[in-house]
Amino acid sequence: MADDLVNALADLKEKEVLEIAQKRLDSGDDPLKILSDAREAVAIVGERYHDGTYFIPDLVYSGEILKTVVEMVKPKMTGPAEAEHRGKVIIGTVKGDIHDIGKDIVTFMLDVNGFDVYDLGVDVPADKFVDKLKEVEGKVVALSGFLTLSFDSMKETVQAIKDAGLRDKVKVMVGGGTLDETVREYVGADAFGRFAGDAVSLAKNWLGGK
Amino acid sequence: MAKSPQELYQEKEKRIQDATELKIPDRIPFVPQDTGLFSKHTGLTWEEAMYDAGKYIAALKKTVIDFDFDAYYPPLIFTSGTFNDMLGFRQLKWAGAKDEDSRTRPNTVFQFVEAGSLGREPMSAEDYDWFLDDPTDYIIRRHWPRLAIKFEPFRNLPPIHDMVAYYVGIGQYWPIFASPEVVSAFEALLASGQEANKWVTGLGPYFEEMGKAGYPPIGLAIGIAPYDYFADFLRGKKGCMLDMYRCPDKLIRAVDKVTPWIIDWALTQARRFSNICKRVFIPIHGASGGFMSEEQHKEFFWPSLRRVIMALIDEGFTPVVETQGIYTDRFETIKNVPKGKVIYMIESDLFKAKEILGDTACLVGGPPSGIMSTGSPGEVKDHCKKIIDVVGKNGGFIMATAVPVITDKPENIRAVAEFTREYSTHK
Repeated sequence: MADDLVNALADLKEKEVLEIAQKRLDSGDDPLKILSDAREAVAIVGERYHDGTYFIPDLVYSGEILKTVVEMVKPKMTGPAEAEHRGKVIIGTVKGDIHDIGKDIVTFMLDVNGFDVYDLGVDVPADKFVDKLKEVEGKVVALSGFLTLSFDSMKETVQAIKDAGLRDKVKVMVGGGTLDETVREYVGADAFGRFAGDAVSLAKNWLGGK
Repeated sequence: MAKSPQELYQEKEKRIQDATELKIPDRIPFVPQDTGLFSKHTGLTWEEAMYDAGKYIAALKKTVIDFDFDAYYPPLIFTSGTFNDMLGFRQLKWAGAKDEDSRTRPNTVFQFVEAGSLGREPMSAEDYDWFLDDPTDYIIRRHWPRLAIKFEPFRNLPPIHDMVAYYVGIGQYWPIFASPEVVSAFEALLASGQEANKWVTGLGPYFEEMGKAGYPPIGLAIGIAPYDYFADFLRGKKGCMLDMYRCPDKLIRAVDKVTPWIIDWALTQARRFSNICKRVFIPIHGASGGFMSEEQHKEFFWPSLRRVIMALIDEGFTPVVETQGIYTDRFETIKNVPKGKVIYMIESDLFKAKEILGDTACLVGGPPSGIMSTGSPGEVKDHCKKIIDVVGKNGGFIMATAVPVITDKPENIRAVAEFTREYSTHK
């Protein structure tokens, strides 16, 4: 049954997923187990996106199915869900840029892969990133930007992290739009990602995990 | 003897026309899209540009002439800051907006807020039937209220088709036009019409002045991919992605529904401008990169866009299709157009585009934004050389920058312009 749910969700068979989840709930299965299976499936979706089998609509759809499963399971849960804690990632679209699609996808991917994600939204000034880093003692920052004006905002943000004396404790990844290695070097980030899955691999490398 | 503006105009137009027809022009034309170079170059801020048509077109004109572009784009500010302010316009954020929620950072380009983005309510999946049955009613009573704060009272209007006769709707429903909210919405509509007219009139001299100065436009009429129309402005990108699985038939019906409207809209503009320009600018982006698989592109995006492209070609117009984002995986599909009749602007892999599309369509492209924003003029020129040697070979190429120019260093734009002019002759 567990495999059924994982496979059905990984294959994006919404109706089947909801039927299996309902059956498992009715038969008294542990809601937390159902939830962790669903998360496992969405992580598989993420891997398939990473290897080019799946695309953004598949990620978005799997996220919506997961949301429905969470809503079904929640009323039956007695305690809080024990999520994996792989580490903290602070994310936002940098100052001057209001594009949110890419940032939201990366946030979703990190979240389903067990990271605690602090999403600061769009048009985020450098000091907001620094404040959040200090507040939650974060070790990874993900800066998103679509417009070319975001390159300077990213550079500013990296500089602010340096000025706060945190640069050697914090890893910075950048991504979005037409960004490439030239830009990574210019802004002084540790790495750049072209696809949402890259953020997960980078965060895993930096914070540990398989 | 110096050439007259008229001769310059003909020379530039021929250069672009030769490239379009996949011939080798006298030299490679240089036609970048200015989305902020004018501000860097002339010192006019975005705040001023958004609120003053005269200053805006003067800055655009000075930039085109000083950098000697071979053609110019239409002004990209379609509605003034005043228009947006007075309506509480929700589709944009712009520098200098009165309302803080609508304001971007000082002196930065305006940015779109798509349906479903940043909290903007999109059309719901339940609304498909309404939209498909009676789209104009849907647009007035649901879409307009989401378009602008001042139009929210249009939600209170009864169905337009119910108000047809003395005792069918008119007697019952007409008093709604006395409700203070609805009156205020109509007052806002009227006032915004005046302002829109003022803005369009203010931009008007631009085209004539550019012509007199010897510069043709790359395109004045505008088109859109039918999927983008529906996804960007109505259902939202995320909504459309879910509909691909949950109600694909309805999504396809909606895209099919809007396609003839877009063809009519684009053709109407194209005919109006046809004595100045036969090219139609069509920016597309909903199928970029990972936004959909190639199968989904072939099912939901490309067929209707191709219908728009073909309708324009059939009337003798040249579509200038700007493929925003990563489009490399789509090149084989978009190759299915008549030879020498379409211009494709490429932001992604220009070299791959030459390989696949080079014998079918004229390509527009240039150095990527990384080099343009962070490199030196020397590095920019090195990159231009590679592009001209490979992509410029045998003609069918127009130099630009890979993505529209925003914060790029003006000296790097100049480097592209100069190098292209000097190096590309007889290439």
